[in-house]
Amino acid sequence: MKKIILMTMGVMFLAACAVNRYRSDFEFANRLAREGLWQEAIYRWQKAMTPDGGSAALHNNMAVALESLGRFAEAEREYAIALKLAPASAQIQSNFNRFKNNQRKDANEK
Amino acid sequence: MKSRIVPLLLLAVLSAACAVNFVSVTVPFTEKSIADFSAYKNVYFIEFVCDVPDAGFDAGNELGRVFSEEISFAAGSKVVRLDPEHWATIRGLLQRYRLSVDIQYENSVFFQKVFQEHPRSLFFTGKLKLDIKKMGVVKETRDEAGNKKNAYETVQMWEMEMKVSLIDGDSSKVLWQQTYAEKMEPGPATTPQFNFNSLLARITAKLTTALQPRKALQERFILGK
Repeated sequence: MKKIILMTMGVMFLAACAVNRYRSDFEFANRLAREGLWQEAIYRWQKAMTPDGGSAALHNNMAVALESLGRFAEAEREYAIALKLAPASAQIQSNFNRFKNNQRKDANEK
Repeated sequence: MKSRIVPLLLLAVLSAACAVNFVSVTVPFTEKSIADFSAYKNVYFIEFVCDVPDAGFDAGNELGRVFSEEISFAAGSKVVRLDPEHWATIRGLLQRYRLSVDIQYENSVFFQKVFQEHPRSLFFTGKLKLDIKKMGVVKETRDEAGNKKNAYETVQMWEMEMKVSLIDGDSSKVLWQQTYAEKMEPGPATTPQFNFNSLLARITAKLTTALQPRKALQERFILGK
Protein backbone atom coordinates (compact mmCIF):
# COMPACT_ATOMS: atom_id res chain seq x y z
CA MET A 1 0.00 0.00 0.00
CA LYS A 2 2.79 2.32 1.04
CA LYS A 3 4.63 1.54 -2.17
CA ILE A 4 1.62 2.33 -4.28
CA ILE A 5 1.13 5.68 -2.57
CA LEU A 6 4.77 6.56 -3.07
CA MET A 7 4.72 5.54 -6.71
CA THR A 8 1.49 7.43 -7.36
CA MET A 9 2.98 10.53 -5.77
CA GLY A 10 6.08 10.15 -7.89
CA VAL A 11 4.15 9.80 -11.10
CA MET A 12 1.98 12.80 -10.22
CA PHE A 13 5.06 14.88 -9.43
CA LEU A 14 6.74 13.94 -12.66
CA ALA A 15 3.61 14.72 -14.56
CA ALA A 16 3.36 18.11 -12.87
CA CYS A 17 6.93 18.88 -13.84
CA ALA A 18 6.32 17.95 -17.41
CA VAL A 19 2.95 19.65 -17.94
CA ASN A 20 2.88 21.41 -21.30
CA ARG A 21 6.62 21.11 -21.46
CA TYR A 22 6.96 22.16 -25.05
CA ARG A 23 3.71 23.98 -25.34
CA SER A 24 4.16 26.60 -22.68
CA ASP A 25 5.37 29.98 -23.77
CA PHE A 26 8.41 29.65 -21.59
CA GLU A 27 9.62 26.42 -23.09
CA PHE A 28 8.76 27.54 -26.58
CA ALA A 29 10.76 30.73 -26.03
CA ASN A 30 13.72 28.66 -24.85
CA ARG A 31 13.56 26.67 -28.06
CA LEU A 32 13.44 29.86 -30.10
CA ALA A 33 16.43 31.20 -28.18
CA ARG A 34 18.43 28.10 -28.98
CA GLU A 35 17.77 28.86 -32.64
CA GLY A 36 18.94 32.44 -32.14
CA LEU A 37 15.44 33.92 -32.67
CA TRP A 38 15.84 36.39 -29.81
CA GLN A 39 13.05 38.84 -30.67
CA GLU A 40 10.46 36.10 -30.82
CA ALA A 41 11.86 34.54 -27.66
CA ILE A 42 11.50 37.83 -25.77
CA TYR A 43 7.90 38.11 -26.89
CA ARG A 44 7.16 34.61 -25.59
CA TRP A 45 8.97 35.14 -22.29
CA GLN A 46 7.06 38.37 -21.77
CA LYS A 47 3.85 36.40 -22.31
CA ALA A 48 5.03 33.82 -19.79
CA MET A 49 5.62 36.51 -17.17
CA THR A 50 3.30 36.03 -14.20
CA PRO A 51 1.69 38.94 -12.31
CA ASP A 52 4.20 38.48 -9.49
CA GLY A 53 7.07 38.99 -11.91
CA GLY A 54 8.19 35.56 -13.01
CA SER A 55 11.00 33.23 -12.06
CA ALA A 56 14.75 33.78 -11.90
CA ALA A 57 15.12 31.60 -15.00
CA LEU A 58 12.71 33.76 -16.94
CA HIS A 59 14.52 36.98 -16.02
CA ASN A 60 17.90 35.40 -16.76
CA ASN A 61 16.74 34.26 -20.17
CA MET A 62 15.26 37.65 -20.96
CA ALA A 63 18.57 39.23 -19.98
CA VAL A 64 20.52 36.94 -22.33
CA ALA A 65 18.15 37.76 -25.18
CA LEU A 66 18.32 41.50 -24.52
CA GLU A 67 22.09 41.32 -24.32
CA SER A 68 22.35 39.54 -27.63
CA LEU A 69 20.19 42.27 -29.19
CA GLY A 70 22.47 44.96 -27.79
CA ARG A 71 19.87 46.29 -25.31
CA PHE A 72 22.39 46.38 -22.51
CA ALA A 73 20.61 48.63 -19.98
CA GLU A 74 17.53 46.41 -20.03
CA ALA A 75 19.70 43.29 -19.91
CA GLU A 76 21.46 44.55 -16.80
CA ARG A 77 18.11 45.19 -15.10
CA GLU A 78 16.94 41.66 -15.91
CA TYR A 79 20.19 40.10 -14.69
CA ALA A 80 19.84 42.04 -11.43
CA ILE A 81 16.31 40.71 -10.87
CA ALA A 82 17.39 37.16 -11.74
CA LEU A 83 20.27 37.32 -9.30
CA LYS A 84 18.02 38.73 -6.60
CA LEU A 85 15.63 35.82 -7.05
CA ALA A 86 18.35 33.14 -7.29
CA PRO A 87 21.60 34.49 -5.85
CA ALA A 88 23.16 31.03 -5.69
CA SER A 89 22.64 30.16 -9.35
CA ALA A 90 26.04 29.52 -10.89
CA GLN A 91 24.66 29.91 -14.42
CA ILE A 92 23.08 33.30 -13.79
CA GLN A 93 26.21 34.48 -12.01
CA SER A 94 28.38 33.30 -14.91
CA ASN A 95 26.16 35.08 -17.46
CA PHE A 96 26.20 38.27 -15.42
CA ASN A 97 29.99 38.21 -14.91
CA ARG A 98 30.63 37.87 -18.63
CA PHE A 99 28.12 40.59 -19.39
CA LYS A 100 29.80 42.93 -16.90
CA ASN A 101 33.25 42.10 -18.31
CA ASN A 102 32.10 43.19 -21.77
CA GLN A 103 30.63 46.38 -20.33
CA ARG A 104 33.91 47.15 -18.55
CA LYS A 105 35.90 46.56 -21.75
CA ASP A 106 33.62 48.95 -23.63
CA ALA A 107 33.93 51.58 -20.92
CA ASN A 108 37.74 51.30 -20.91
CA GLU A 109 37.92 51.68 -24.68
CA LYS A 110 35.81 54.84 -24.52
CA MET B 1 15.91 -4.36 1.22
CA LYS B 2 13.72 -3.99 -1.84
CA SER B 3 11.31 -1.71 0.02
CA ARG B 4 14.19 0.67 0.83
CA ILE B 5 15.58 0.80 -2.68
CA VAL B 6 12.31 1.67 -4.38
CA PRO B 7 11.67 4.99 -2.54
CA LEU B 8 15.33 5.92 -2.97
CA LEU B 9 15.19 5.26 -6.69
CA LEU B 10 11.94 7.14 -6.90
CA LEU B 11 13.44 10.12 -5.13
CA ALA B 12 16.48 10.08 -7.44
CA VAL B 13 14.24 10.06 -10.49
CA LEU B 14 12.14 12.87 -9.03
CA SER B 15 15.11 15.08 -8.26
CA ALA B 16 16.57 14.45 -11.71
CA ALA B 17 13.29 15.33 -13.35
CA CYS B 18 12.86 18.54 -11.42
CA ALA B 19 16.50 19.66 -11.28
CA VAL B 20 17.31 23.06 -12.71
CA ASN B 21 18.28 22.39 -16.28
CA PHE B 22 20.09 24.79 -18.53
CA VAL B 23 21.21 25.05 -22.12
CA SER B 24 24.27 26.76 -23.44
CA VAL B 25 23.63 29.31 -26.19
CA THR B 26 25.89 31.76 -27.95
CA VAL B 27 25.34 35.47 -28.11
CA PRO B 28 27.12 37.79 -30.54
CA PHE B 29 29.68 40.10 -29.06
CA THR B 30 31.23 42.81 -31.19
CA GLU B 31 34.34 44.36 -29.79
CA LYS B 32 34.65 48.08 -30.16
CA SER B 33 36.59 49.26 -33.17
CA ILE B 34 39.86 51.07 -32.47
CA ALA B 35 38.27 54.30 -33.68
CA ASP B 36 34.90 55.48 -34.91
CA PHE B 37 36.02 56.56 -38.37
CA SER B 38 32.57 57.85 -39.27
CA ALA B 39 32.79 60.48 -36.51
CA TYR B 40 35.62 62.28 -38.30
CA LYS B 41 35.38 64.65 -41.22
CA ASN B 42 38.54 63.32 -42.87
CA VAL B 43 40.98 60.47 -42.47
CA TYR B 44 44.48 61.28 -43.66
CA PHE B 45 47.58 59.28 -44.41
CA ILE B 46 50.85 61.12 -43.78
CA GLU B 47 53.72 59.37 -45.49
CA PHE B 48 55.72 57.07 -43.23
CA VAL B 49 59.33 57.63 -42.29
CA CYS B 50 60.97 54.80 -44.21
CA ASP B 51 64.31 53.13 -43.75
CA VAL B 52 64.41 50.98 -46.85
CA PRO B 53 67.52 50.01 -48.85
CA ASP B 54 67.63 51.30 -52.40
CA ALA B 55 66.55 48.25 -54.37
CA GLY B 56 64.56 49.74 -57.22
CA PHE B 57 61.12 50.19 -55.70
CA ASP B 58 59.28 53.12 -54.17
CA ALA B 59 58.21 52.14 -50.64
CA GLY B 60 56.38 55.43 -50.07
CA ASN B 61 54.26 54.97 -53.17
CA GLU B 62 53.35 51.41 -52.23
CA LEU B 63 52.35 52.50 -48.72
CA GLY B 64 50.26 55.32 -50.17
CA ARG B 65 48.45 52.86 -52.40
CA VAL B 66 47.82 50.46 -49.51
CA PHE B 67 46.34 53.19 -47.32
CA SER B 68 44.25 54.87 -49.99
CA GLU B 69 42.83 51.60 -51.30
CA GLU B 70 42.96 48.77 -48.79
CA ILE B 71 42.88 50.69 -45.52
CA SER B 72 40.10 52.92 -46.87
CA PHE B 73 38.05 49.78 -47.41
CA ALA B 74 38.85 48.31 -43.97
CA ALA B 75 38.13 51.55 -42.14
CA GLY B 76 34.97 52.20 -44.12
CA SER B 77 36.16 55.77 -44.67
CA LYS B 78 38.20 57.29 -47.46
CA VAL B 79 41.84 57.71 -46.50
CA VAL B 80 43.34 60.74 -48.24
CA ARG B 81 47.06 61.12 -48.73
CA LEU B 82 48.32 64.31 -47.07
CA ASP B 83 51.68 65.80 -47.86
CA PRO B 84 52.24 68.63 -45.37
CA GLU B 85 54.77 71.32 -46.20
CA HIS B 86 58.34 70.45 -45.10
CA TRP B 87 57.39 66.87 -44.24
CA ALA B 88 59.67 65.48 -46.97
CA THR B 89 62.63 67.38 -45.44
CA ILE B 90 61.79 66.28 -41.89
CA ARG B 91 61.38 62.70 -43.07
CA GLY B 92 64.77 62.86 -44.74
CA LEU B 93 66.34 64.01 -41.47
CA LEU B 94 64.61 61.32 -39.45
CA GLN B 95 65.69 58.61 -41.89
CA ARG B 96 69.32 59.44 -41.11
CA TYR B 97 68.74 58.36 -37.52
CA ARG B 98 67.67 54.95 -38.82
CA LEU B 99 64.22 55.31 -37.27
CA SER B 100 65.49 55.16 -33.71
CA VAL B 101 63.76 58.46 -33.02
CA ASP B 102 60.19 58.15 -31.85
CA ILE B 103 58.03 61.12 -32.80
CA GLN B 104 56.09 62.62 -29.91
CA TYR B 105 53.06 63.74 -31.86
CA GLU B 106 51.53 65.57 -28.88
CA ASN B 107 54.60 67.76 -28.45
CA SER B 108 55.73 68.16 -32.03
CA VAL B 109 55.30 71.73 -33.30
CA PHE B 110 55.17 70.43 -36.85
CA PHE B 111 52.37 67.96 -36.16
CA GLN B 112 50.44 70.41 -33.98
CA LYS B 113 50.32 72.75 -36.98
CA VAL B 114 49.18 69.95 -39.28
CA PHE B 115 46.45 68.91 -36.83
CA GLN B 116 45.22 72.48 -36.43
CA GLU B 117 45.03 72.96 -40.17
CA HIS B 118 42.82 69.88 -40.48
CA PRO B 119 40.21 69.92 -37.72
CA ARG B 120 38.02 66.91 -36.94
CA SER B 121 40.46 64.58 -38.66
CA LEU B 122 42.19 61.31 -37.99
CA PHE B 123 45.76 60.75 -39.11
CA PHE B 124 47.55 57.55 -40.01
CA THR B 125 51.30 57.83 -39.86
CA GLY B 126 54.27 55.78 -38.70
CA LYS B 127 57.53 54.28 -39.80
CA LEU B 128 58.66 51.41 -41.92
CA LYS B 129 61.94 49.58 -41.76
CA LEU B 130 63.20 46.99 -44.19
CA ASP B 131 66.34 44.95 -43.67
CA ILE B 132 67.77 42.72 -46.36
CA LYS B 133 70.14 40.36 -44.61
CA LYS B 134 72.40 37.75 -46.08
CA MET B 135 72.49 34.41 -44.40
CA GLY B 136 74.59 31.33 -44.89
CA VAL B 137 72.58 28.13 -44.96
CA VAL B 138 73.44 24.51 -45.50
CA LYS B 139 71.23 22.85 -48.09
CA GLU B 140 71.05 19.20 -49.00
CA THR B 141 71.70 18.53 -52.70
CA ARG B 142 72.55 15.50 -54.81
CA ASP B 143 75.59 15.05 -56.99
CA GLU B 144 75.66 13.53 -60.48
CA ALA B 145 75.79 10.04 -59.05
CA GLY B 146 72.66 10.73 -56.98
CA ASN B 147 74.47 10.83 -53.65
CA LYS B 148 73.33 13.29 -51.03
CA LYS B 149 75.68 16.08 -50.15
CA ASN B 150 75.50 19.26 -48.14
CA ALA B 151 76.19 22.53 -49.92
CA TYR B 152 76.75 25.92 -48.34
CA GLU B 153 74.65 28.67 -49.88
CA THR B 154 74.03 32.33 -49.23
CA VAL B 155 70.39 33.39 -49.19
CA GLN B 156 68.60 36.62 -48.52
CA MET B 157 66.36 37.23 -45.54
CA TRP B 158 63.95 40.15 -45.87
CA GLU B 159 62.67 41.59 -42.61
CA MET B 160 60.04 44.29 -42.48
CA GLU B 161 58.85 46.17 -39.43
CA MET B 162 56.06 48.70 -39.57
CA LYS B 163 54.89 50.88 -36.72
CA VAL B 164 51.48 52.43 -37.37
CA SER B 165 49.99 55.24 -35.33
CA LEU B 166 46.44 56.50 -35.51
CA ILE B 167 46.13 60.01 -34.15
CA ASP B 168 43.12 62.09 -33.27
CA GLY B 169 44.07 65.51 -34.61
CA ASP B 170 41.88 67.64 -32.32
CA SER B 171 43.34 66.18 -29.13
CA SER B 172 46.76 65.27 -30.67
CA LYS B 173 46.28 61.98 -28.88
CA VAL B 174 47.56 58.68 -30.27
CA LEU B 175 44.41 56.57 -30.28
CA TRP B 176 46.12 53.40 -31.35
CA GLN B 177 49.65 52.28 -32.10
CA GLN B 178 50.87 48.91 -33.25
CA THR B 179 54.10 47.42 -34.55
CA TYR B 180 53.95 44.63 -37.10
CA ALA B 181 56.87 42.52 -38.23
CA GLU B 182 57.21 40.00 -41.03
CA LYS B 183 60.12 38.15 -42.57
CA MET B 184 60.61 35.99 -45.61
CA GLU B 185 63.29 34.18 -47.54
CA PRO B 186 62.60 35.14 -51.16
CA GLY B 187 62.91 32.68 -53.98
CA PRO B 188 65.84 32.95 -56.38
CA ALA B 189 63.81 34.38 -59.25
CA THR B 190 61.73 37.00 -57.45
CA THR B 191 62.22 40.72 -57.98
CA PRO B 192 62.83 43.17 -55.10
CA GLN B 193 59.49 44.83 -55.90
CA PHE B 194 57.71 41.48 -55.56
CA ASN B 195 59.47 40.71 -52.26
CA PHE B 196 58.63 44.11 -50.83
CA ASN B 197 55.00 43.88 -51.91
CA SER B 198 54.69 40.37 -50.48
CA LEU B 199 55.89 41.49 -47.06
CA LEU B 200 53.75 44.62 -47.16
CA ALA B 201 50.69 42.58 -48.13
CA ARG B 202 51.16 40.31 -45.10
CA ILE B 203 51.40 43.30 -42.77
CA THR B 204 48.47 45.00 -44.48
CA ALA B 205 46.34 41.92 -43.84
CA LYS B 206 47.13 42.15 -40.12
CA LEU B 207 46.46 45.87 -40.11
CA THR B 208 43.09 45.59 -41.84
CA THR B 209 42.07 42.87 -39.37
CA ALA B 210 42.97 45.15 -36.48
CA LEU B 211 40.99 48.04 -37.95
CA GLN B 212 37.78 46.10 -38.34
CA PRO B 213 35.68 45.43 -35.27
CA ARG B 214 36.00 41.80 -34.29
CA LYS B 215 32.86 39.77 -34.10
CA ALA B 216 32.98 37.00 -31.58
CA LEU B 217 30.54 34.66 -29.93
CA GLN B 218 30.23 34.24 -26.21
CA GLU B 219 28.58 31.53 -24.22
CA ARG B 220 25.54 32.18 -22.06
CA PHE B 221 23.17 29.87 -20.24
CA ILE B 222 19.42 29.92 -20.63
CA LEU B 223 17.60 28.14 -17.89
CA GLY B 224 14.66 25.76 -17.90
CA LYS B 225 11.88 26.50 -15.43
